[in-house]
Amino acid sequence: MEIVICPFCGKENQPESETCRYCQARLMPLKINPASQPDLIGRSPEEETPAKLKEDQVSESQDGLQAAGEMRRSGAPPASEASDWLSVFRNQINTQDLSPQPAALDDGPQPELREIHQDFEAGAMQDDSSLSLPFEDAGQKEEGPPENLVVGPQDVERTGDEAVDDLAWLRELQSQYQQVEGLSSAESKKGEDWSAANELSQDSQKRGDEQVPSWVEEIYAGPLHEEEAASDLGLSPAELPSWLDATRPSGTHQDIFGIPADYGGQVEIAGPLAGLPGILPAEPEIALGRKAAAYPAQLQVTETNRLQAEIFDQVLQSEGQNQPNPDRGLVTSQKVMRMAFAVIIIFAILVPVFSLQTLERYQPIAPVAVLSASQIISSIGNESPVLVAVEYEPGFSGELDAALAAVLDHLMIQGAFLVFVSSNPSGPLQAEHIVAVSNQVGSHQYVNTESQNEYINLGFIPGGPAGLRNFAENPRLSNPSDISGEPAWQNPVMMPIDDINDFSLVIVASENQDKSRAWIEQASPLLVNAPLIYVVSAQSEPLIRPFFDASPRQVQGIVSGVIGSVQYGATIGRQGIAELYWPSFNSGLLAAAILIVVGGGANALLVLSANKNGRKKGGN
Amino acid sequence: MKSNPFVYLLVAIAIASGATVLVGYFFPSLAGIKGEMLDWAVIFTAVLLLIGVISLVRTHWRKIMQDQKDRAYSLVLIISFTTTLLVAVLSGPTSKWSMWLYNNLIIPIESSLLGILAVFLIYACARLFNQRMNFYTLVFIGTVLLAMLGWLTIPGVELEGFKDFRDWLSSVWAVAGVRGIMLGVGLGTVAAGLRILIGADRPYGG
Repeated sequence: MEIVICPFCGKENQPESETCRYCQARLMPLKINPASQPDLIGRSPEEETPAKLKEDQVSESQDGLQAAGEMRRSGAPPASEASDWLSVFRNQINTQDLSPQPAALDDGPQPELREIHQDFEAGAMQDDSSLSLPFEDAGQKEEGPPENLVVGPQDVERTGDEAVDDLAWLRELQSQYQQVEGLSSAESKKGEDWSAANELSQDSQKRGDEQVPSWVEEIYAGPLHEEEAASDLGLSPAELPSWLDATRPSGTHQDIFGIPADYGGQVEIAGPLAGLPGILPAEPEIALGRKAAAYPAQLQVTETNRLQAEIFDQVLQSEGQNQPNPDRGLVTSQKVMRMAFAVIIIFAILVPVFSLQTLERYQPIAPVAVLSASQIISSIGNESPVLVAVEYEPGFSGELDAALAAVLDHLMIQGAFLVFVSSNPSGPLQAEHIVAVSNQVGSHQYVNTESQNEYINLGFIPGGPAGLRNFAENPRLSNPSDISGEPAWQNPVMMPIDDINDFSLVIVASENQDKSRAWIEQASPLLVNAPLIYVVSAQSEPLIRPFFDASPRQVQGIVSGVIGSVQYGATIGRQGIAELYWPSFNSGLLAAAILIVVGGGANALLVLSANKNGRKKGGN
Repeated sequence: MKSNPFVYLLVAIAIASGATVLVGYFFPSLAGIKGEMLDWAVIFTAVLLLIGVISLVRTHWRKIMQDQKDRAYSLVLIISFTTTLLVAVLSGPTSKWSMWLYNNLIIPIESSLLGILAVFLIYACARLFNQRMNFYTLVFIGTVLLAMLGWLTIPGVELEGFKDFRDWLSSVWAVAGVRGIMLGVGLGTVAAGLRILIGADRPYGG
């Protein structure tokens, strides 16, 4: 899309715009309306008098709204139509009395100007006398310079200050002219056509120039004919040095700038150079519409910046990708050490198995928590419903199976009716597993068949703590059937149970502290008569012990790990599966302790030696 | 918070449910409503578990279909899931075949992982001096060794002193630390419950 660049403000405009929509500068040459300006049509450049040129220059510089560089052929006057009131005003000026008023020039121009100003403000142009322009009067009437401006031989020796005082009337004339100009501008700002005001000022200036006395023309023309004046004074042209003359362009400005030969006939009609022929055609090329510059979309950066950006992009890209582990080779010292540790531990565990070594030594005294649990279970009668919550993962079967099997063995000996439940999805199967393990310990065989129902597996309790609370309050509603889908509460042992407090004993087997705590928090408040015993792993014992040490006790007994199982078996005089585990457990534990001591000591010596060598090197 | 009416509905339901269950603890006459709310919670949780299983299978099935990396593991999971499901559905959850899968696959695999973990922990303890050698490392290693020696029974060696020291550590230091943790957990639970009750915390979204 073509656009037009405003030569004044540099902003883009539509190609059909006549004026800039930002600064209101004219973008297209002013068109001539022959009907409104018939007197300006057909005039050749030669017919343009210097006075006329001056008139155009002054008028164009006054309005300040026409674009600089607007060119037109000489003889094409500006086409600005004046409004009616301005036409009336122009006629009034033409017909007014422009007789000179020396007194006014010297002493009293200000009252007249104020009067003119008031008339402009009021918009009333009825009094011709109020429109008299002193400087125009002076131009019409004065054929020669005023007496005080005539420079006689006797005045040549005047000082500079006196000469300035003699030109005071000229400065007043200029100020008066500027005030009249200001009044015209003020009127134009009130909503009148700016072009009409411009025309008015042009006309008034034209009349002023037409009536300017000859001595004023001499003053104006003086600088234009400087060379003639210099020759008249007998001054010869300056002789330039050869080097300076060589730097001057050999051709004319038309040759240099590629201006057509007939361009000198064109007269500038706008801007500060209005009225002068042969102005360099700067603006037409600037104002010509052209396509917007196509700036490259690629960021202009240096090579270093580009490399840094690529590195940064690679870092960002690599954030979301899995970085492969560095290839350290198949055999490294750490791998060897890990393998050695594993071999030693496995060897220590297997040696007691193959040597059939029996338990060397039992823990002589069972802790209070184990004794309490054993005493509680010993008080359980036959067919007493005991709730067993199996809450441990299959991975901890090695430790917790041994501990729970000892307790279940005792319960089976007591003839308790076991009710298994779990809030762990794998808990129901783990319950079946531990029953099978417990059956291997003793001579009892707990089964759950249609003909013989010695335990029941209520299955999974969903809902986490809320499910536990719901089960504790109403187990019938929470788990109405067992894991096989058979009705669970039709057994005679189960029928009197309405809540968890109706069980004779509640046992929780867990290695997870959160699940252990959930059972205490949700079920313990409802357990008024039924004791609560925990079978936990060795790592969880410290987490449960505070509830056992509390007063009153929230947990009435604790059996922890393989050691607890051995101790519990010792309390009832039975040897459970913990007895089978103990030699390997003891041997593996001893091997682990030795490895930690030896390996830790060796590493400590290496570190100390390295530090010592480092200090020596640093000291040297 | 954006003015989404659905969010206000969620907040209202959450606050009403929590307040109902909480009030049910203080007024036995409202225990029926509380129990009903707990039943709903249990049912919703069970449904969520089912949805989780379906999502797990769907995710791994998509990995297989899209030939993504490590799709072999996804294939193993799909086969294991399908086999276990078929065995449990056809023969029952506590049948012989189901227990065979549990006793001979699940328990050994998970126990092996814990066995490997034990070996790595022992190795890490031995190399701890190499990584960081300071007072706290000495305290940690010393405590571990004393606790282990307290469990040991070595023929011909009297370790009663280690046993007493281990019991002292377990009943004093460990219990004291755990009680502090339990107090913190309790206070945090109360604060979290209150935040949910007043709608300041919305874990359900919004």
